[in-house]
Amino acid sequence: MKEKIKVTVNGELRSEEVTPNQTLLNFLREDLDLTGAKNGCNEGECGACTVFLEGKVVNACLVLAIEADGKEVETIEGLASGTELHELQQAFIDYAALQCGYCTPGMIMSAKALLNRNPNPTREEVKEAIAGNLCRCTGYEKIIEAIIAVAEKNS
Amino acid sequence: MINNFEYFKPSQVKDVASLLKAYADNIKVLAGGTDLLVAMQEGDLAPDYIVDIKGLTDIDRIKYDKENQILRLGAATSLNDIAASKVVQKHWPLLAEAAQTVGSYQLRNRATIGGNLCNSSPAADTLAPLVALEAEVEMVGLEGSRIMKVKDFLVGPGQNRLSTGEIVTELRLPKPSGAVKGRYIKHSRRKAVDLATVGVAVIAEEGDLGYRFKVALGAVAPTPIRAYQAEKILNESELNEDIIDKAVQAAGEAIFPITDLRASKDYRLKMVKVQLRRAIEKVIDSWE
Repeated sequence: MKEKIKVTVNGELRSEEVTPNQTLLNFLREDLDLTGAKNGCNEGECGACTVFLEGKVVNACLVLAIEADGKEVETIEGLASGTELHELQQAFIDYAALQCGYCTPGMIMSAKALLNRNPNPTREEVKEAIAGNLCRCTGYEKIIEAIIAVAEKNS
Repeated sequence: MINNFEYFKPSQVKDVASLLKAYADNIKVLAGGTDLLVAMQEGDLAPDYIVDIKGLTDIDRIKYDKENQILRLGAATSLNDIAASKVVQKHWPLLAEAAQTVGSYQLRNRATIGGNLCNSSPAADTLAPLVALEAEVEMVGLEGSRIMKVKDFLVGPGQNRLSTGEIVTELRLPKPSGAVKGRYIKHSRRKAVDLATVGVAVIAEEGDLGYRFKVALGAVAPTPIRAYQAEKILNESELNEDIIDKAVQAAGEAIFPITDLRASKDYRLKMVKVQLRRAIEKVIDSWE
C-alpha cells in the first residue's frame, strides 16, 4: 500500500511513493539516498536526524514521510553551494567541532535554525538551542565555539 | 519499526469524529507525533488507522478573543509557537515558560498543546500551568461540542474524559482581570530533554484585595492538582516567611507522590516543598 507524495527536498520538487509507516528520516535516507541525517535513537532524544520541515527544525524520526506531502524539506546536503561549504560547515572544520561526525549534520541544522531566529545568540542561548542534539565524542565546547564564531563574523 | 497503518487527513472535524467512532480502539489521533510515534516506534502501540488532525481549519492558531476575553489555542498549536507568542507571554507568562521546558527545541516545533493534554501524563509540563490558569478544553464529536475544565478533564495517568469519537479542538484560557505574575519551575534530572520529577506552577493575579495566588503541582499525584489549602493560606494572610512556610507545608499534605525511575516518593515530597517556596518567592520578587 503506497501513497503518492510531492515534496520539495533541498529545492528540488520530487514525486515519490511512500508507505504510511515510513518516517521522513527513512524516506530521506533509503529512498532519496540523503544519508546526512542520521538514525540515532529513533525517539526524538538525540537530534542526529534533525532537518528543516517548512523552515522549522524537527526530528525526522518522529515525522511521517506522508506528513511532508506538499511541504519543503531541507537537509544538510542542501547547505553547500557546489564545492563551497556553508559557513557553519566551514566553522565546524576550523574549530575542530567534530570527531566521528555522527551528530554533526543534526548539530549544524540546529545551529542554523538558531542563527535564523537569533543572529546574535548568547553562549547560554547556543547551549539551549543544541540541547536536543547529543554528541558523545567531541564534547560541546568546540561546537559552541564554532557556532558563536559564525554569529560574531556576521554581526 | 512502526507497524503499517492506513493514514487519513480530513479537513472537517466531523470526518475525524466519524473515523474515531468507526475504528474506536484501533485508531489514533496524530497531532505532533512526539508521543504517538515514539510509542509506535517502540511497539507499545500498533493501530491499524491514523487520523492526522493538522488538516483542520484553525487547529494550530493562537487567537485572543476580545469579545469573550479568552485566549483560544488550537489543539495542534506547537509548544514553540506558544512559548514565542507575544500575547501568551504578556497575559499567560506561566504557560509560555512551561511550554519552553518541554523536550528540546526541535521537539517543541512538533509537540502540541492538545497532544500534551490528551496524553494526560501527570508530569506533563503544560498541564499544571493549565490547571492553575483555570483553562477549559473544547471537545468535539458527532453529537456536537462540550466544554470542560482541564482539571476535570484529567482523570489519571494517561486517562481523560474524552469519549470514543471525540477530539480536543481548542484550549481556552480566561484573561486575568489584573496584572499577573507567574512562575513554572520544573525540577528534573537534566536541564533539557527530560520529564519533570516535580513541576510547580504559581500565579498571582492583581485584584481589589491585593494579589490572589493560584498554585498547581505536577508529577506528585495521578493528575496535576490544585493546592487549594496552600492558596488559602497565601491569600488570607499578610505574606511573610512564616505564612510561606505554612503554605508549603499545606501543599505537601495535598499530594500523593509515587516512587518511580525518576525519583522516590520522599524525594518528590521534599522537592515539591523546596521548589514551591522558590516559585512563591520568585513571584513575590517579580512584583516588588
